[in-house]
Amino acid sequence: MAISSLLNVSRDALMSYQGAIQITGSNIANVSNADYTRQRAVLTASSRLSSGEAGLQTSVSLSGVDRIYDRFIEAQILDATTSGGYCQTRSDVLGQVEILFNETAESGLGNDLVHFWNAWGSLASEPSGLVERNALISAADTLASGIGDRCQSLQSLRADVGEAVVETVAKINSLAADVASLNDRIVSISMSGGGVNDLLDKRAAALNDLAQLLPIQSVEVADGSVNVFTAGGEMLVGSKDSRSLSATGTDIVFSGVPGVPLNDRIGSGRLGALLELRDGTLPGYMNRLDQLATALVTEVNAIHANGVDATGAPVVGTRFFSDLPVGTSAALSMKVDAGILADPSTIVASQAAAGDGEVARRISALNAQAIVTDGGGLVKAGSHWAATVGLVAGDVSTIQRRTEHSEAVLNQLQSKRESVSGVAVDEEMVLLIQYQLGYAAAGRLCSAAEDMLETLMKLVD
Amino acid sequence: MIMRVTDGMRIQASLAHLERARNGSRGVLEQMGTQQRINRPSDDPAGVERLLEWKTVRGDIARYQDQIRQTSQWLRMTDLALGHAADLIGQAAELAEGNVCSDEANRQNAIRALEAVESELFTLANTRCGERGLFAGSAAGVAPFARDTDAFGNPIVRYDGNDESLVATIGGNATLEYSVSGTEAFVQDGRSLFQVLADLKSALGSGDGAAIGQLRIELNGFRRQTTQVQSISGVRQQRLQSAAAHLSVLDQKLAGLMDDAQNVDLAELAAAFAMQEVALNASYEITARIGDMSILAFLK
Repeated sequence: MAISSLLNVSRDALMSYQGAIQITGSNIANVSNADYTRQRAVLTASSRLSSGEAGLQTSVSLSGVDRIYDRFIEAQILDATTSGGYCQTRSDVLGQVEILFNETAESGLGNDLVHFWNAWGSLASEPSGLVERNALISAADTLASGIGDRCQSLQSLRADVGEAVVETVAKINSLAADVASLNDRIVSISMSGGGVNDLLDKRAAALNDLAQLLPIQSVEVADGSVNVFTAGGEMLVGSKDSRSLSATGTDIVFSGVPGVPLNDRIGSGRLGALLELRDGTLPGYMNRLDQLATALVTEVNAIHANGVDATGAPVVGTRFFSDLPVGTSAALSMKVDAGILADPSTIVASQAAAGDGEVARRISALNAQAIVTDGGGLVKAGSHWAATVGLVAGDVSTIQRRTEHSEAVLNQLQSKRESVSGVAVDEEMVLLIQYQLGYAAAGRLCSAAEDMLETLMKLVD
Repeated sequence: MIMRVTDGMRIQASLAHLERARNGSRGVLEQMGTQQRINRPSDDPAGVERLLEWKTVRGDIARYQDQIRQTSQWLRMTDLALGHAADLIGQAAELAEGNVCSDEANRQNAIRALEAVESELFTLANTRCGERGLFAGSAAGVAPFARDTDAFGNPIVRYDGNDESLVATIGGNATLEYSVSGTEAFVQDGRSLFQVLADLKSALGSGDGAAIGQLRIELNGFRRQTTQVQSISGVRQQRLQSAAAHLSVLDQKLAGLMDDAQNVDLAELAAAFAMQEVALNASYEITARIGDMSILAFLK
């Protein structure tokens, strides 16, 4: 074996350990980067031909850089992220709804209802009292405003959710395009033998962001790219290209492809939560307010329509609440009739004789009667409102529990991922010492070879 | 296989512990601040629905109690008026009884006394409670009895009220007719008390002993009728008192239930807060030491 070959071995070792230390340095530098996947230097023994008696000399080379990850954990994280996106979005929006239905304070629609019935009760006792009439108008106006304001707020919230759907679709399209672009770069760099670990991390982060918005399935292809499919099995991202979604009216469809809307197949992720809120949950709450308003207006007006005025003359068809326009929300349209507002004396309080207060008493008694349609039957107005608040509270409570559970699952999976792919400084420091030692030893080998050559040179001299 | 524990895992775990401990403290502090277990509907959905139902029922109870108070006041006034009316009718009957065979001068004195009684009865019959006449039936804003003249120019007392009853709602499905109409109190067999008094005045003026005797019998009948109506009013008063007592017990029970459902046990909360504080301090302690647990400390 030639002494000079020792120098070659030493050179290979020095370069390999230097590369390994650089990789360790990258790991240490990214210790706080959640998207980073730790890398490991792959050192392999390399044989080189030698003219000496042994014929073969073994050196070392940095043959590659492994990216340490577990694809099953990554897939589980994608699922959990989708579920987390759904829960968090729903929880955020329902948290705003809960404020509208917070009846734990002294004020609230429940109290407004009680004041409304009480005002009719007071009018029944003093049918000709102007104070009682004005108090009733005030209570009725407060009640109508309370129902209308809540419905209006829900409508605004629903409009905001609708805008969020459009924004989310745009973000999905952007992320899908990013994944397609990264796919393209990964494939081309891989083919030229370059390192793509950073790009793989970026793609994993983009997929994670995408999964938060939409339920997806990703499949790795042999060339290094991933194909991304929606929950319904439609391809969203191919090896180089992506398809874009568009929000047309209330439907989510693939751009330029007329077909069946995807809405029903997007049951999770942020987009799934937004669609469910926009098309199911919020209209459901608004519908309950409409049911309450319709029952109050219809029942009160029905009794109020027949009676006698202050002089005892029969009065027919006088409305207390304005008629509800067909095709519009009853909750938004509910208001005290303009005639009653202009002249409180036109409130019909008596039935057969002026001053008997029977109309007011019968309206006041509606409180104890099942007048509001709820599910398949009728319930009292107060019970309907209590059930509505209970429904909202139940929805909020359920989604909060689901969010907590989803966060716990995601944390556990991220912990598992961290255990596999995360950087441990202790480990890196030990590896650093190991590589440093190898580097120092290689340097010492170089020095020994130099000494040997020098010795030989002295013999020649 | 030994599980790898990375620095990220330790930091994530510490953050999660801190978050949990802080949330726990926040919840307890909020309850201590408001002294309420339910601060938003989602704290207890079933509880908040029950609370709303109970609140509505208590609102109804308050309304019924208010109605009972007003009705009770009405019945007390009715009772007083009828009692006084019975006394006055008795006085008129005594005047009739004492003057069946009396001389002109005594009869003239009796007529004057009778006029005073009639005037007082007229005032009593028009007694008002608020805007309503006690004996006007369901009519409001009118005096039930008015002085007028008949077709021959004779003075008469006209009834302007009606025979309807006022109704009070004193429970979910419980109502009470509580008013006494002028007809019930002051008309018997189609004859008004005021007509009988007017006839008695005429009989006393003409000295018609037989007529005076007959009218005395009629007045005694009116007194019995008035007393009977007064006793009915008393029965109504008792029913009101019974309803008020029942509602009061129900209201107290509901208040107790609401209190149990809504309000916190401060002692329990103080203990929970102390535990949360310990957990939070422990989390801070551990988080502060994360940096020490590294090989770097030994490589210095």
